Amino acid sequence: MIQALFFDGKSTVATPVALRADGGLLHIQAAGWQRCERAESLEFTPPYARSAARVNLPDGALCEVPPGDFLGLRRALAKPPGLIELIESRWRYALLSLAVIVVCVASVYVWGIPIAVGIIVERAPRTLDSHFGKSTLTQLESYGLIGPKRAATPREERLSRRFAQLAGGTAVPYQLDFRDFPAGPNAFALPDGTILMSSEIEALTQNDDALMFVLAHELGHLYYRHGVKLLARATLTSILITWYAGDVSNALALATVGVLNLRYSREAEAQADAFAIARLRAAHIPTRPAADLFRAMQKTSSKEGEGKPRKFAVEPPDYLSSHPATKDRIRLLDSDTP
Amino acid sequence: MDLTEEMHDPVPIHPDAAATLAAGRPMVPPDERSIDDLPPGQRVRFSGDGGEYFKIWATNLALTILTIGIYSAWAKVRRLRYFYGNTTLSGSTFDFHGRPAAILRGRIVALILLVLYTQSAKISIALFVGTVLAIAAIFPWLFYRSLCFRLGNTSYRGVRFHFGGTAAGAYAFFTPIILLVLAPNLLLATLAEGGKPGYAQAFELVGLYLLILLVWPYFLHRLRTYQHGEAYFGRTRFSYGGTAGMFYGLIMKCAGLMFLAGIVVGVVGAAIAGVARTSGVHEPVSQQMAGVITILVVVPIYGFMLALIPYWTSRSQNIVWGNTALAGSRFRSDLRFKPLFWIDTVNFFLTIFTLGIFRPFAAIRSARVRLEAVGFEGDVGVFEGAEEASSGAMGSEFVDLFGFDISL
Repeated sequence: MIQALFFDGKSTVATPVALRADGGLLHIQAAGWQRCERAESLEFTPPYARSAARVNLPDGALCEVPPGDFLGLRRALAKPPGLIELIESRWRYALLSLAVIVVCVASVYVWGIPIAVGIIVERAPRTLDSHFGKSTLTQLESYGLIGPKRAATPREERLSRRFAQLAGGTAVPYQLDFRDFPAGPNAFALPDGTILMSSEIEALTQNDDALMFVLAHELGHLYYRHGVKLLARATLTSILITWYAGDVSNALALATVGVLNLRYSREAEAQADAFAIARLRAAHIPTRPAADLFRAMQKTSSKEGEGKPRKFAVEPPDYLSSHPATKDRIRLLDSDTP
Repeated sequence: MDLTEEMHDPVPIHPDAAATLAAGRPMVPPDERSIDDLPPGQRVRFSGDGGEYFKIWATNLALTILTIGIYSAWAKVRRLRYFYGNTTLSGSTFDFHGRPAAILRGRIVALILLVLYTQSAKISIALFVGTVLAIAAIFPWLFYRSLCFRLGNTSYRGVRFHFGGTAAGAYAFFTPIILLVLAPNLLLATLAEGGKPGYAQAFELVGLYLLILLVWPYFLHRLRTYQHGEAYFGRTRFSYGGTAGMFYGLIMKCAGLMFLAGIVVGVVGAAIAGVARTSGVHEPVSQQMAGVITILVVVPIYGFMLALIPYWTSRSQNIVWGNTALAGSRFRSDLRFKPLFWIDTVNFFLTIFTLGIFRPFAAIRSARVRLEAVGFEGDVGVFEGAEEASSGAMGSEFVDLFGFDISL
């Protein structure tokens, strides 16, 4: 005998009843009436440890059973819990689920996204690349990050001619664009084939071989279509992270996306470095001058805190950096002299 | 005290009940929101347990991943049944009857709309504008159907709730706000193409947000009137007696707090910049220094938002539930800022530090503090069910993906 409350499904009036399980039948006994239901027609709500559980009857009526009596009643009526309910009630399945979640999310990040990016970028026409390139160039100009278009200096014309020979065999369409960068020495490739190089980086070295490496590195980005790939990756990573962390905080999700994309960015830089080294070696151009250039760039960037203790001059750890550590790149270039 | 015993006691009807029934709108003295004097059976009790829910959550998430999202509809039903099944009023719990297939249908529609919304701009601006207009045109209907679905599938003591409002009602209050939000944005999108100067766009944006700030409390008021004023429990209709002024008061307080916080952050930021200058940092300020300054400004803003959100949540829950009544018996809500702030803040940091593992525990803690602040002045044992199961239980739930879920 189990003391329970009966509700007829037509009103919220509670009727105290006694429940008894007997041979696959549930007997409900009230003060003035009784009824009997076959076990197959009953629906048991999942038994939560700390609240009244329910037995739903086929006509919309229900019995509320104290949590302590519920499992016994269900056993007596031979109504085993469903598969999902079993999984949900065991810690070992919860931990297994957790492992599945971690493995799946990590696999999507490590393998799934790069594969998807490969497929997407392979199908995307080159015209899409140039669309992104044009809008980026306009943005850079409007934010004042690069100076206006200007006539090329004699040295730049010489560099252009030399680079045309170096890039000749790659069949990658490009155009060189020399500008002044207020933010300092830098160079980058836009997806439409524009390679931007700052006059500040030219001023850092008298050696044209070093600049050949810089330009070849940017050509490597174009060759592998890194611009569109990074965009596709950023989009997919942000979908993944927003799904996982979006309901905690959107800003947090964005920050995580930024850090996660840095890994892809470092891989792309290393790939472009390898491309440039291979091109230079094929053309019998030494790479050691490029190493000297990187050393010179390192010096300028640490000069900013001149005369003061260099509190922040430490390079960020590898996983928080968009480029491979400069000393690693220098070592690579030093060792690869033909 | 035994709750099942408790609920057979006669419940004193609030003296104002008859008068408020006649007037059609309950009167709410603001100082009467305390639930301390209500007998325990008339206060909502939440018995969810973090560990128990963690197991459900982990299973739900793993199965959702393994089925590429399809299980999420079943997961939602199991989650809601857990929260409803652990919410007790007068010894009885709530139940959710929604069919997962209907939720899945709704989610597929919502996903299609979301993909169209995020991707169409990359193809053509005309397609994007068309998509936005189409979503705006059907959103009120989707919202209405979701309300019907959620309420129609909720029951207490075997009696179903249902939503008696109309789709036309949803259009009536969504249309002005949608026009208000959309029109200037679409205008901006087309102007940006034409190369209008940046400061003009900024002025328009500021004006737009000020306008929204002015209209938003009224919109919230209409929304709650629609949601709570046209809901039914069985045959009995809920009534909502809140006024737009209550939300205006709340948003004014929040705006005032934001203004003060802005001044403090501004003064601190200026002081840091001044110190940096006098201690001999030359232009251009190094990137790292800029980073430090950004952190010194961003962190207080974030901290302030961590406090403002629970402030808003607690006050608006008290407004909404404190002014809701069923058959002349009022609900009470006495959600305090301090406990909610503490729980939300701890939840936020623990969820980050555990990479999300704490989330199910956070959900339980948060639900407990919110639900247990609510009480009901009347007797729950006197309500009649509707003659026919309402058709509102059919249909699908759409709202989830838009982040516009219905509270409790």
